[in-house]
Amino acid sequence: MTLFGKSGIVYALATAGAFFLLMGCAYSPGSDSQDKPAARQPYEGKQPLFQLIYVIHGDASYSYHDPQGRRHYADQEAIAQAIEVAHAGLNAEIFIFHQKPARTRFFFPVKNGILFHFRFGEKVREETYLRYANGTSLGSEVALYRTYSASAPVRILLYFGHEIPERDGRGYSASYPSRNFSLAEFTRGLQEFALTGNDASGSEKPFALLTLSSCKGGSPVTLGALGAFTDYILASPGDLHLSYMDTRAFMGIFPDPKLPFGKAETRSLASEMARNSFDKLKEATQTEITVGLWEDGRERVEFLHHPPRFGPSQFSEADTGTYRRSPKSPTKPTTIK
Amino acid sequence: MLYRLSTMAVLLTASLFASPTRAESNSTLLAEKLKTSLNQMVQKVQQAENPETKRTILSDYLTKMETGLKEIQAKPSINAQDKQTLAALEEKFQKHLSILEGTEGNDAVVDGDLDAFAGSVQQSMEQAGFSGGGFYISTGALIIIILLLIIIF
Repeated sequence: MTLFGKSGIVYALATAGAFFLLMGCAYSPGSDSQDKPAARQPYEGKQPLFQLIYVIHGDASYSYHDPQGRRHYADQEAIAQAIEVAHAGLNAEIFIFHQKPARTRFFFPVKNGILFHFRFGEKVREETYLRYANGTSLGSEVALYRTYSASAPVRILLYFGHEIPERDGRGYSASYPSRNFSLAEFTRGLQEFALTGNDASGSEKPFALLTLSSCKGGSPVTLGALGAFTDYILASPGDLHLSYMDTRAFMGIFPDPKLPFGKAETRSLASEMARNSFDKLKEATQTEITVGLWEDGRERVEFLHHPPRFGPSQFSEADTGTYRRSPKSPTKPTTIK
Repeated sequence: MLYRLSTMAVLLTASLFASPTRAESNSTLLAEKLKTSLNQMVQKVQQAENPETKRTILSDYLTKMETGLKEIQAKPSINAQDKQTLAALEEKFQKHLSILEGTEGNDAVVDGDLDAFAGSVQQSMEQAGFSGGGFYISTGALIIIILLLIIIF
């Protein structure tokens, strides 16, 4: 007190307070200033045909390098692709959740998830949220979905991330090392999403399609656990490069979908997505590529396989069915139906 | 003057607390360091002028990683969980080395494919080498591994 004097301390505290305010204003990524609900005019009286839910995990090491040595970030590229799809979704409602690493400010957790919400091709909301706010892995995302979701006949969930562990998944989110994210947690999340009514759906199952853009999403255990939730599962039974699945096939069906959009149409869409993903991965990677499509988590309706350029395959002849390399077209994928 | 100094001290302290901080986890930090070292190795292989040099770079890198990871596991300060993680990493590097050398039933990589092989090692490790649940590493082990990487490069 004697050192600085009373007025000095007051002055310092006032300046610090102002500085805090300025810091708060200056910190902008995903700022809640954008949270205000946008005008709903395009949505009134109109029902979307498709509802896509992208969940993109970004709380781990997701960097990879291209042949030129440039570093890419898989989660950011997945977000960019999802937003591209969302802008084309003139008859769709699209939720894009980006799960980012935990951060703190002044010892308090900072919001570390971002929701991009699109309706009919327009972004209506960009909102930050705190992951694990209610303690469960997908609870915060489900809460936002319940708040803003409309009904749509065709509901599809797309997950992008590392392999979802079949058992102990502690450490899956690097900044939440004690939190568990395993197949059981993911299944619980799907159940919570499914609890949100979808009156417009003609399907008995909550989802028409589930896309797992991760390693080993097509393992027998995973397929068995998820089959009850969805008509079709698009996934890789082996390792999947971080350049991920290509989901831009939606952009081809948005303008002129075949109606009613039932199981056959979903299967056709998923098959196209499988082939596009396979082609993209084959062009960019030298590792083994497997992309499969399953009906009800049981019957394999599509399986695209390209062996690794070096070393043994993870899959036996029995796994790949009648896989054979075509002598005339060595890079042509084998489709087993 | 003292007023200004005190204000600056408070502001400095405030800025430390006000900026959102992200604690990089050990596993992410290690994965990023390894990815960087892999990328440096790939670039060196691509820039090497002859197959002998390319093969030497690849072999040295994979051997040093494999033996280094094995030696780290033997240290008493490494806990069981770290050992498990390090053993899994060691096995991956060992598999790539056996493909390069054509051992354990693999066809050896021919000279013309060495650049592609280096890229394949990189992609394989990036996509599944350090990912998925259960990839834990302690700070102590992380420091030792980073020292290993510094020695290699």
